[in-house]
Amino acid sequence: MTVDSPSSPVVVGLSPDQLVSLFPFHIVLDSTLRVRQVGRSISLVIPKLQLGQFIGDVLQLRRPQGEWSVDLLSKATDLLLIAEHEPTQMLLRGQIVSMQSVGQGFIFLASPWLEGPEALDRFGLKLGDFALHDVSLDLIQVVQSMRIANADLRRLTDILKGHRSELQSVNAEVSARNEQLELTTRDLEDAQAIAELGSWRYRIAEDRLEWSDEFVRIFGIPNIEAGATLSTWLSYVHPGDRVRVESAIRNIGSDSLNLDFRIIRPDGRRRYVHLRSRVDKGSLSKLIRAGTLQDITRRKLNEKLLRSQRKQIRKLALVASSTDNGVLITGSDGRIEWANMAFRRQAGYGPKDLRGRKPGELLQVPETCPTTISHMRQKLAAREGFSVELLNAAADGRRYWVALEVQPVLDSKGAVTHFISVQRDVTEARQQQAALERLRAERDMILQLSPDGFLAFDEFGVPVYSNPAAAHFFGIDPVRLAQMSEDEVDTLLSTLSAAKDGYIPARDLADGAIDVLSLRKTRTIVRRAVRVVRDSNSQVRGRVIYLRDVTREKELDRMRAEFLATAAHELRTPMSSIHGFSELLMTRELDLPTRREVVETIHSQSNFVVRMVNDLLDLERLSSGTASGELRIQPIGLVPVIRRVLDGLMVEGDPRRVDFSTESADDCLVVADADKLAQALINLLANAYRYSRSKGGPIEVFLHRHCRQMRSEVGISVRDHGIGMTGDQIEKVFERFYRADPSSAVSGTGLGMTLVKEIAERMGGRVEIDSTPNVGTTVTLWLQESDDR
Amino acid sequence: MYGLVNKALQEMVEKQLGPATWEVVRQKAGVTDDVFISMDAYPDEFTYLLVGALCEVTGQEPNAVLHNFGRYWVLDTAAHHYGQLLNASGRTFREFLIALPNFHARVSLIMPRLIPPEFACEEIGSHRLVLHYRSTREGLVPFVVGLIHGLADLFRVEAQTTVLPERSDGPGHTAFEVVWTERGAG
Repeated sequence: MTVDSPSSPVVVGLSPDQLVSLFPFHIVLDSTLRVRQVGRSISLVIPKLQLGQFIGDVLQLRRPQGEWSVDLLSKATDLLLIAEHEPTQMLLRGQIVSMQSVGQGFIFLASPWLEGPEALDRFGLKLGDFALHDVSLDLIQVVQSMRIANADLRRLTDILKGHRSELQSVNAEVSARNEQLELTTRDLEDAQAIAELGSWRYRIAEDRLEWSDEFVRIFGIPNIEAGATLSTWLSYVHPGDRVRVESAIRNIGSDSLNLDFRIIRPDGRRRYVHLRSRVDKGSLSKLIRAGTLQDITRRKLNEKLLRSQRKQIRKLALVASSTDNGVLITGSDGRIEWANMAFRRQAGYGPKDLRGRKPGELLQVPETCPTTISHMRQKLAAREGFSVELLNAAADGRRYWVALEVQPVLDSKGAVTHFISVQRDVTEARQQQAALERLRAERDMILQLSPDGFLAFDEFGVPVYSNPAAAHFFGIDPVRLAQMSEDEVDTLLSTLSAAKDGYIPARDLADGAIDVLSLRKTRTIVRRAVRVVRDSNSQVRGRVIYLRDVTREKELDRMRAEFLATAAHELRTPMSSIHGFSELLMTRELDLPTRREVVETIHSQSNFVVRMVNDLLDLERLSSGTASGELRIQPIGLVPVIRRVLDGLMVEGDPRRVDFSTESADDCLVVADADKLAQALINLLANAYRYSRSKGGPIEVFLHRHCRQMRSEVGISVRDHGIGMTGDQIEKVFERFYRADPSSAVSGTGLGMTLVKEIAERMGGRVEIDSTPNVGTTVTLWLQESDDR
Repeated sequence: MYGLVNKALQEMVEKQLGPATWEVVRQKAGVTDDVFISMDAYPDEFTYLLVGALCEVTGQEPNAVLHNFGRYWVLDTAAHHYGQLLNASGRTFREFLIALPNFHARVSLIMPRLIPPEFACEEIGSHRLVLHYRSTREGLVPFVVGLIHGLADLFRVEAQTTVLPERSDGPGHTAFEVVWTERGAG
């Protein structure tokens, strides 16, 4: 057994079967280049190949170029040989192995060239048709893998193209959005300025703060400080808020922030700001807190104002709901928004009746003063407040007066938002006022007409009131008196008073004191009463001085005393005579003639007494008016009455005559009581007799007419030629018991002329006296002539 | 695993259940790649996550999903991408199974980072053989069964596959007995 050394070459030989199996596409050529043997799979690619066939008839040589020849093949053993089977266009690639050294031909170790897996299909080749060492299949798999990779590439390219297209669209959109963003940014900056809203960004890791222009403006800080640290920025925060703000901003766990706080600007101005922020949690190193900052100073101040106003409104509402005054709130359009209970009670309307209506529509009536309504409308149009008194009508038609005060409510810009009206029912007050004014007018009228003087002063002596009678007492103008103080009036009174030293000023008189003053200038005697005016709390509010002219009263007193003295005196003489002569009759035995004379005297004196008493009674009845009902006043013929009286008075043998004459023969009809007229004529004729001198001439009685105040009067004049009277005597001639000659030379009661005057006046007439001392007196009794004449 | 596998899974889900379902599966799996490069290697975890998510979405058992995927791989993926090569791998079901070891050996050349499974055939009859499957990846036996059944469909045979525990000698080795009959052969 021969053992070869490892370094010596080994001669390897392949059996034909092995060659066929290991090289399934080989072709063995003989020295004439005819096919001697082929591999197991060659028929798959060259189906018509026959053994003994010249190779050049089957395959066309492509490399090296040339015709099949032994020489060519001998030189091509180190060349890649490529031959084509033209009918199938199959290329065989391989190399030539020459066996000429052993006297044999060539072996073409070939393998079909497969461009791709589809060539397998085309030639019907299977993997088993190839030798395992052949890399053709591996190449096909590589090719297939590359194709798959290419397909992936194309797919990715398509995706990328799609993405690029999308990107282009996105880019276009981004560009458009960028433009929009720039516009938006500018708008945002404008909006920030308008809204006083700044933006900021705090880079937490870098402790760097960035802010917008508006932010800078709000803080009033120099722009150069932009990009400062948080601490720098916090130095502008109000110390009272600083800890709270810093804590909130540094707390990145709190994503969303909403803070109100105060800042103090470098110029010292304090502002309120509202901060909003969120944390952008990109990564720990890029933590950013971004947000906005808004100047809310105005809002805060408005809120404060609003709170104050609300507080005020709550108070007002409380007052409005509890007050007895009607309160009405209307909008700026004048329509009712709210009314309190008192208003609804006044007007008789419910809340639903009122809401949305205009007050004038509901409350005004035709009687409401149009001038007042016009005034109200002008004020409302001018947005001004006003106060008026107005007649309103309630829902049931009841009229009532209100004192109305309307005020506009303005907002912070001065615009009217509402009107508030407060109305007080003054119906009763107005009625009381009217009654008071009527009373005051009546009082003034009374005081104006009063003959008594009144002066009123307040507690400080300032004049309050004085009437004309008081001015008359003082002999000064009422207007001047109305301006005089109490002291000035006292000074004037002391000047006017006759008792200078004894004058007591009114202010020194106690409440209720009364005294009497004699005023020289006006020759009047006044009774002065002083009353202190006190209010319901007994506080002195002034003083009233009452002055009454008692001159006449005093004179009447005097006259009454005189009358009593005269009456007593007048009665005493006849009564003494009666008493004396009657006593003489009782105590003496008188002869008949003497006794007769005594009785006649008694009878005469008693007649006198009776006449005087009758005259007094008549006079009293006429003066008191009790006789009026007894009078029969009617048209009567005058002449018969005169003649009857004259006939009754004529005493035979009396030298004194009475001449009666009339203007015409016709009788005169007068309105009179015939008996009383006769009584008056008797008194006149009696006086004429008494005061006529024996040689003075006859007494004349004559009638005459005249027209007075559209009435025709008839006068009956009785003229004597007696002692006559002075002016002072004429003034007093109608007073009771007045006698022009008080001596006993002329008898009489002193009541005759008083009676004549009373009778004449009772019959609507009057008496005139025309007298001259020592010449005579003419007394005319004027009576109204009857219309029946 | 090469991108080809994930891509095939994607194609299967999109074809059978719709693109929206695939998007749900991908997101549920947490896989961010929306395009797989066929000849790039991806972590095996991706494939497992995708299959797990698909099970979760469809409510199917993993074995059924993998079996379905094996059949799809043969009948759709391989036919589409390796149609000629598939055809050239054998004229019959038997030839194909026998060529399977060399086929994968070649794949390992072209895809050096694939670590492909290794197959070996042991013929025990004219229509019966034992197929040895060795892989470093776990849980893909149902996929292999699906592959075999897909091949059976391709070659129009009725095949039965039985795991032979007594022939499997470790966690990475599974032996199948494959028995087939020609369709229509009764």
